[in-house]
Amino acid sequence: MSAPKTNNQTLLPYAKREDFHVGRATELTGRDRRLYRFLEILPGAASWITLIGMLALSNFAPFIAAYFIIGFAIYWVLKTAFLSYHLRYNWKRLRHHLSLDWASLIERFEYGHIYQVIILPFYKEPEAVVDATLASLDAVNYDKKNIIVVLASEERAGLDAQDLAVQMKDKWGSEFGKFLITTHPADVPGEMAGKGSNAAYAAEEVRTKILDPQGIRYNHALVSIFDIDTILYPDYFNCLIWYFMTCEFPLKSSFQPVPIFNNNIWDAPALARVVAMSSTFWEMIQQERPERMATFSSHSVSFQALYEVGYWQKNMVSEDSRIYWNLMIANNGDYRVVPLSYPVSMDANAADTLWQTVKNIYKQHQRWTYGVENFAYIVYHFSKNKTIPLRRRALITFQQAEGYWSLVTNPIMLFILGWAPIFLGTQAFHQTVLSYNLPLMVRDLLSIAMFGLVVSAIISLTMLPPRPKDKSRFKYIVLALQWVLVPITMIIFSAIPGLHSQTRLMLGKYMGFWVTPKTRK
Amino acid sequence: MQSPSQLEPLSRRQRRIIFILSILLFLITVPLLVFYAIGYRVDFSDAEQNIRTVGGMYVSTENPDSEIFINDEPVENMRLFQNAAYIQNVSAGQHQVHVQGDGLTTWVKELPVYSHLVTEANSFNMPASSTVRFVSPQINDLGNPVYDKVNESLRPFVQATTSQTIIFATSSNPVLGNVNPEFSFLETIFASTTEDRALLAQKESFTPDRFSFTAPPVFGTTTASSTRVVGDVALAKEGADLFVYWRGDKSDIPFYFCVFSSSYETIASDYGSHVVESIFSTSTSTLATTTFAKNNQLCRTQISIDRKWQSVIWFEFMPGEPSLVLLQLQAGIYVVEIDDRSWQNVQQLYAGDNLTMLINGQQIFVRDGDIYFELLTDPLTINN
Repeated sequence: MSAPKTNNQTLLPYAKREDFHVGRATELTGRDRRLYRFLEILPGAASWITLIGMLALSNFAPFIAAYFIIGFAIYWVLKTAFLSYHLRYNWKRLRHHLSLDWASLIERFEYGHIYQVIILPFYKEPEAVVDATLASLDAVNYDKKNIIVVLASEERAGLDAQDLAVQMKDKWGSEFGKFLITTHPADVPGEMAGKGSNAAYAAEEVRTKILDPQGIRYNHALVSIFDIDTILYPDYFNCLIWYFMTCEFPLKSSFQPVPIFNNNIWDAPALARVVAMSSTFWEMIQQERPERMATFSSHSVSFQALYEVGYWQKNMVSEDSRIYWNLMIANNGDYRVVPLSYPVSMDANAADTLWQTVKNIYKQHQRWTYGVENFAYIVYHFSKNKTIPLRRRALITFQQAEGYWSLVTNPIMLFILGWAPIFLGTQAFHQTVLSYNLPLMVRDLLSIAMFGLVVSAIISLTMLPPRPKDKSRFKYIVLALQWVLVPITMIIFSAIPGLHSQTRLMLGKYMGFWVTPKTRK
Repeated sequence: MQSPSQLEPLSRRQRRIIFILSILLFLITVPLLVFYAIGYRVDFSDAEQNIRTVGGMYVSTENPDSEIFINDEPVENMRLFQNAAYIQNVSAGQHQVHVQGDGLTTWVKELPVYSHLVTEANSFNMPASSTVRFVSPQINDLGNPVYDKVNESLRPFVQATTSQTIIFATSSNPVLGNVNPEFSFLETIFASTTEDRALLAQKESFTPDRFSFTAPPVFGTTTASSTRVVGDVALAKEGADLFVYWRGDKSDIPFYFCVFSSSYETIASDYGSHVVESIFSTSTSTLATTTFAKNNQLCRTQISIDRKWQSVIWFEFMPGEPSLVLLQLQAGIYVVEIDDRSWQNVQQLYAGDNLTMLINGQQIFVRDGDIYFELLTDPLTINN
């Protein structure tokens, strides 16, 4: 198990446990290992049992299966309406936040002592991607003397990446208070090559090379970890300061912007656009129910909070959400995510060819849905840390279990298994009006649920970056109509990679970190 | 502290209200839709019984342009698939269904519908007038049939319709045509004796580059008394009568072998006396040995084919359609459905008393006198 580099005395009491940063069952022994392994198996087993059970029910008890499917389709309609309501609400809030003059709003606060530490982990992304991110950072409405940029490179990325980091420092270094290049060493024992280990290394480097020498207190440093393709909106840090200064527990909170995957939206194929905007919409919905939120992708958090748990985990894939669970569990439940309802722009997953795009999206979503590894971590530590209120533990366990289960099973049950009784049912079933009404009813209910897509289409059009001159106005129509692809994308890029991830975890075939390729035209 | 945002996040209370409303809606909607799907309907027009039960009909049609009528009312917007319609909300009882289309023979049947159950039927609509593709001894460069010194008033030419342009050559209007290899081959196959076929084989040098039989053809006149089998269904002539037998697994038996009713009287009234006689033995309370119960149905394994009181000269399953039988009777060629519930629809394909038939794959070839042609029944083929 990888131990945090920070001084053990500075860690929160619970974070000092040997198993605090457990990444997988094999890192434990004895009863703990068996418990953790069971928890790794559980999500995949539940999904497979549901799907196979649905087939069996369709074959042996088609009437019950048909009633269940009707109920499930109604549930889906209501869920779509419920989530669309949240989405629309957050959209209004996000637009409102974009219209605010945040700089004047935070004038009343004394925040000159707060430093913004920007960690930008990167691997082999091209110069254009890194340069655009730094350019957007340079354009923010914030005193850049208080901005510390950390360009976190990987040794295993080779000399080209190191050269690029130096080149970027030469170009942008003078614009910010500090500009630090870190190089995460390759093949560190106990680490998984990935963003978590790189970010953790960079954070410790910042501490030892800038914060401590400069005498910057850890609770005066706000760390924002951004994917290397993140383009900031001008008032991001002002908005962050406002929430940091006004929230009830600033040092016990992570701050989550809305990642809008639209940097390259005009060049991405329809599939990539739908998948990208769907991910954005999901985060927007979550912003309206923060008790369900974990940090995702780009986010901000105080350095002190990070330091108290030993930074990001280095031995697992989903470090962006895991850091929230680390913090929540180490703080005995006294930790939360504050939704900013303020956007950051990132790249939609688009490659040079459609097929490569499809493969990349699948891999990216397989990595995201591998966040199911958090389920074992959460429940395992909930069984250990009894100081977290039982109600909260129970609620989070249920929400997480339901989330991972529904991610995989719901689209497959609705769009594929919904028809299973018709094909697998007995002859006695096929003679009934129920057998004939079932597909019609499911079709009609799904058509009603498609209304949610209309809301999505309208909102997505309002979130587009300016249309490039070489793109026809006709493309707006395509961008609206592309939402009919949702049933396909839900299965191919959500349910199947999710099932793939859960199955791998269930079988103990643990995944490594896959870096999403970023390009810029 | 004043918020910069006039828009606060959704409050817990607001979210809880929406959540509870959703649950209530779910709890109300699920039983309503389940009852609807099972076949219950609310009917306020009946003061005594507001809840009534319904059944349905599922009618398949071969022609996508045909229209379906129930009790003379057209069925609209009910198609599930291209060639089938599901009609909902049909009240229990006897209903006449007919399927018709321009230029097609109308298919009519009277069938019972039971609450919560769906009555199935396979309709078929043959061309109202015989539609053929002539296979002439010669063809011109465009592929049109060329007949030399053949009387235009022969029966096939005046009785059948065709999309082909037929050219009749005479001594005053000679037309040079090419030998039609398809005709040569048909002539060989239709020849009734081995000597004739050998003679023809010497006469023609046939290169099967544009016409060939995909399988040994079913030749009409020599096998009239044998049994035909398609899948698990057998067609056999016994004496003067023709019967269809189910030989497969009981669970796979086609719907038209089975009836929903269980008593002699109800089967007789719902499906006809000929059906009840095939299900029960002479005693009205005893099932025939060929009858078995399946789910809530009674199924027989034998159905008699209506031969219109004529002698059966030749018979075969309709190519590609095992629920239909192709019959050559004394007065011509007919298609008969196996489904005998209420009655069997019999539709004439071609009238004539001096015919020879053969089937090649999906094609029906006929020789009427010295004229050869293919009978067309598929609407897509006819339209092309």
